[in-house]
Amino acid sequence: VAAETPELAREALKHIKVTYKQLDGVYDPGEALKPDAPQINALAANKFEHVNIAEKFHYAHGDLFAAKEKSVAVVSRKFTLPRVTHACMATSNITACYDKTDGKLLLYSSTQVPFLYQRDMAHALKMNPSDIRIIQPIIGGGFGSKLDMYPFEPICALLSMKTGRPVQMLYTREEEFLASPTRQPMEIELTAGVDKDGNFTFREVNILKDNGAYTSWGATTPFVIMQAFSSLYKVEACCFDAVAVYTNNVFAGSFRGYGNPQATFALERVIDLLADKIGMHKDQIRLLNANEKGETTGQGLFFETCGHRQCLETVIEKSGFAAQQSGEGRYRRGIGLASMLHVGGGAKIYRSDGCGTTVKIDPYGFCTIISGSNEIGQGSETVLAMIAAEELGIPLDRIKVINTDTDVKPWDVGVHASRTSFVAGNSLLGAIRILKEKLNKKAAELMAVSEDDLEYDNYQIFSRSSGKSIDLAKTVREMHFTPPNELAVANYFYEPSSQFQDSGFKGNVSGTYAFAAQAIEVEVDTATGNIQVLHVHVAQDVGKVLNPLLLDGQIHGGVLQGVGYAISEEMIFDKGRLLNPNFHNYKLLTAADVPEIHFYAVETHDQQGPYGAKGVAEAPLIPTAAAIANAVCRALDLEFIELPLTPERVLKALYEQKMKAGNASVAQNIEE
Amino acid sequence: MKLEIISPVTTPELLSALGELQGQSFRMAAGCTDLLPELRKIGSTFPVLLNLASVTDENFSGILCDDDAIYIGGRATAHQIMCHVEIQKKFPVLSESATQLASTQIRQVATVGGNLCTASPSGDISCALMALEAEIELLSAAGTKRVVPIRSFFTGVRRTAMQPDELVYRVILKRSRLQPALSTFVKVGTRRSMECSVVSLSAHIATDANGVILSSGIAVGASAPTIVFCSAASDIISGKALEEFTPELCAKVATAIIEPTAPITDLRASAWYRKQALYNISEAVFADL
Repeated sequence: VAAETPELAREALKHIKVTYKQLDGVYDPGEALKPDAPQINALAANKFEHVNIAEKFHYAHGDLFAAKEKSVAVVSRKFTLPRVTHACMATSNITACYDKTDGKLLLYSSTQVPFLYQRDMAHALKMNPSDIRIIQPIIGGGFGSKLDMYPFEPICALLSMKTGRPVQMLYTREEEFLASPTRQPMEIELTAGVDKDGNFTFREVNILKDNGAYTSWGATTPFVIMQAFSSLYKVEACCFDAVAVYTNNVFAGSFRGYGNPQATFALERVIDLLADKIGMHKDQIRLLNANEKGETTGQGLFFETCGHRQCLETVIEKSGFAAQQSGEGRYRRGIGLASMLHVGGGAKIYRSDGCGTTVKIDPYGFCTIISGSNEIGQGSETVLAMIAAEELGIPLDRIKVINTDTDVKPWDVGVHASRTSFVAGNSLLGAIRILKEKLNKKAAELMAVSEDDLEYDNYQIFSRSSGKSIDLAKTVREMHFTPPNELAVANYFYEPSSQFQDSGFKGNVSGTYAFAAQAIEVEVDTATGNIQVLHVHVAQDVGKVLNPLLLDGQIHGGVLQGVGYAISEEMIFDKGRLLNPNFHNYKLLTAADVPEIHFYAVETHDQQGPYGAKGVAEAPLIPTAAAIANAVCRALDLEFIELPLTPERVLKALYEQKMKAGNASVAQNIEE
Repeated sequence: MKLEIISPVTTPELLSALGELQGQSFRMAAGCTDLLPELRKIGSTFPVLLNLASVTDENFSGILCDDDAIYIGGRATAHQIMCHVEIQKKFPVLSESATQLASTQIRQVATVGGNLCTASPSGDISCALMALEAEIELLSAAGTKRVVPIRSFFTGVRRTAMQPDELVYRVILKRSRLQPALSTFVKVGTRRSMECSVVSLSAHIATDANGVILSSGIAVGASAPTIVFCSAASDIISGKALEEFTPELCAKVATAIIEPTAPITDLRASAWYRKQALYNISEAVFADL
C-alpha cells in the first residue's frame, strides 16, 4: 500500500485480507539437511546433492596425511557462533521517484554498491539499467548490510511507477531487526595439529552455515573464511569444507569481516589449546608460526609486505602478556591474544575490482574529484581530498568530492572488503598524475623552465632549479584560454594487480593483505559472570597511516563491535520468530561499556597502496572476540566453545567447574 | 494516534484536573520513559494524558530536608536524587540506585513517582526505597493526604495500593541518628548503561558505636512479582556485631535472601541465573562487612 500518510496506509492495510496456509518450518540447518527435509526455497538452483544446500565450498592444500603423521598433538573442537545484526543507526530506507513523462526512475538508496544495485534493480524491474539513476545520500551505517538489493526496494520503485508520485519506505527499528540481513550463524568443526617443535602442521575444517531462507552475498563468506584457515600463520596442509544451508530463519548477509570473526575465533581458540597441550607459551607458538614478508601461502596469497610478527610482538609487549596472573577471589583477570589476516587491497570477486576517477581543476584553482567510489561513513571523502591536497598543494577547502550519483560518476564495484582508500586512492593518484603532466607542460612553457623538477605547494607550481613559480589557478586559466585550449581534466581507471582464484580457490585475490593482533585484558566477576573488558591493545599493519583520526575511529568502532560479538550481542529466536527486536533486549553495547583502547599503527609501506597504505576497516573487529574468549578462558581456567560469553553462560560454566571439583557448597542449594 | 494532553502548572490545577478525569480512561506521566515504549508498542489505550511535568510545586518536584526527614517529591528525577549531597551521605543505597538507573539521558526525566507507580519488580529506585522502608505520601484529587509504608505499597506486577484519584506526592525518608555501616545497591545486568536489572539487591544496615547492628533493611528486585523485602535475612543479622560475619553467617544470610524469591525465566536470564547471581552477590556484600 502506498498512501499520503502512514496512518492512511495502515488503515488501507486493514482492508487487505490474506489467507496463510501454515506449514512447519525448519529452523536448524542440521534438520534441513536430513533426507526427508522439505525443500525450503522453491526457487533454489538445486545444484548440490541436497535441495537445501545453497552453496558449497571445498578447498585443500598440502599433504594432509603426512602433516597428520608429523603431529605430536592434535586438538579438535566444534564451535557455535551466534546470529548478530549490524544495528545501523539509520534504518533501511529508499525513496523512489518515477517520471512518467520520460520513463526514468530516480532512486535515493542507502546502498554500498550503487552500480551493482542499479543492475539488480533493472533486472527486478525489467528496465534498462541506464534509465535508473541512483543517488546514494548520507548513510547512517552500512557495515556490509547494504551489499544486496532487498525486496522492499523494487516494491517501493513499483509503487512509484504505478502512481507516478515519489514513494518512500523507511523501516521502523523493529522492522530493521526483523527483516534486515544478519551475520551468518555457523558451526565450525576444527581439527588442528602441531609438530614437536611447535610448528602448525594441518587444519581440517567443516562448517555448517545457516543461510536463512534466501541467498545473498552472505552465502559466499567461506571465500574469506578459508583464507584464515589456509593462510593465517604458516600451515603445511589444510582441508576445508563449508556448506550454506537453507532454513526458515531470516537470511544471512554480509557483515564487516565477512566470516572472518567466526573463523578467527575458532582458529585462535584452538591455537591456545594446542600451546597448552605441548607446554609452549601462547605467545611463543604464535610468533614461531607468524606469517612473513615475501611468503606465498598454500592458497596462493602473496604477502609483498607483512606486519604479522610486528603486530604480535607489539601487543604481547604492551599488554604485559607473558607476566599475566589470573589470581584468586571474586574478580579474576586474564589477558588473551589473537591475530588476523584479511584482504587489504580489495578482493577480486567481481569481473572488475577497479575504480574510475575524473579530476578537474577550475580556473579559480579549486579541484573537483568525481570518484566512482562512495562514502558510507568511513571517511573516504576526507582521505581522497587529503590525497588531492597533498599532490596539488592546495588546502582541503578548495577540494570537492562528487561521489553520490550514478549518472555522473564512473564505475566502481562499491564499498566492501576494506577497499575504498586503497582502490579509490590509487585511482585518484593515477588521475592526478595525468592531470599534472598537462599542468606541468603549460606551467613550464609559461615560466620558460624545464618540466622535470616542478613541485606543487601553497597554490603555486614551483620550478626548483630556476626558483620561479606560477599560480596554479593562472596555469589552468592559460590552459583553458590560450591555444591549444585544453581542459584541466583527467580520467583514470585503476584495477588492482589481484587475480581471480581458480576453481580450487587458489590465487592472489587481493592487491595486498592486512594483518593485526590484539591482546585484551578482561576482569571476570565470578559472582555474576559479568565480563568487564579493561584494556584492548590493537596493533595493525595499515601499510601507512593516511588520516590518524579516521583510523582511530575505525579501530574504536570495530573493537566495540567485536566486544559486543564476544560478550553481549545475540538475536534470540523461537521457531524463526525473533524475540528481541529492540535495543532493550538486544544488548548492543553503549558508550559506558567502551574499554581502554590502545592503538599502535604498524607501517609496512606496501608499494601497491596509495603512499603505501592498506585497507584497514574490517580488521579491528576480526580478532576481538577470539582474544576476549582466550582471556576469559585463561582467567577462569575454563573452556568456552560458544559466543557470546553472556553472564549466564559464564556463571553456568563456573558452577559446573565447582561441581566437578566437589566444591559447590556455595551453589548447591540452588536447583536448576 | 490521537492523545489529549492536559498540563497543569499548580497543584490545585493538578488536583482539579485529576478530579475531573475520574471515571474516564486516562494516564498520568511526567518523564514518560515507560509510557513512550508502551505507546510505540501497542498504541494508546487511553485518550487523555495528564502531564505532571509542568507542575511547579516544590514539594512535588524537588527534594526538601528538615531535622526529621528527607522529602523527595514524586516528580523528582533520578538525576536530582543522584546529585543530592544529603542523600549521598545518609542513604547511599538510594543514591547508587539512581546512578545506575538506565542512562544519563533517561535519568534527566525519569521520576521517583514513575518508578514507584510502574510497580515493576525490576525498579531500581523502588528497590532501594524498599530497603530504606520509605513512606509514600499519596495526595488525592480531594486534597487529602495519606501515608502508605512502602512494604504495603506494591500489591502485584504493575499493581499498587493507590486509588485512581491519587498520586505519589512525596516519598519520606526518616532520618536516623545511626550512621549506616553498609548501604549499597548492586545491579546485575549485561551492559553498564541502558540496562534493566536482571536482578538487584539493596541493603541499608546501621550499627551502634560498638558495631552491633541495630537496624537493617534488605530488598531484592526482579526476583518475584514485586520487589521483596527480605525480613528473614534482616532478622538474622539484627543484633549481630560486624566481626561476627564469618563465611558461614554470610552463606546463611544469602540463603535467607533468596528464600522468599521466585524469579522467572525470560529473555534476559533464566530463573536459575537470577537465584544463583543473587545468592553470590548477597554473600559477597556481607563478606565485605
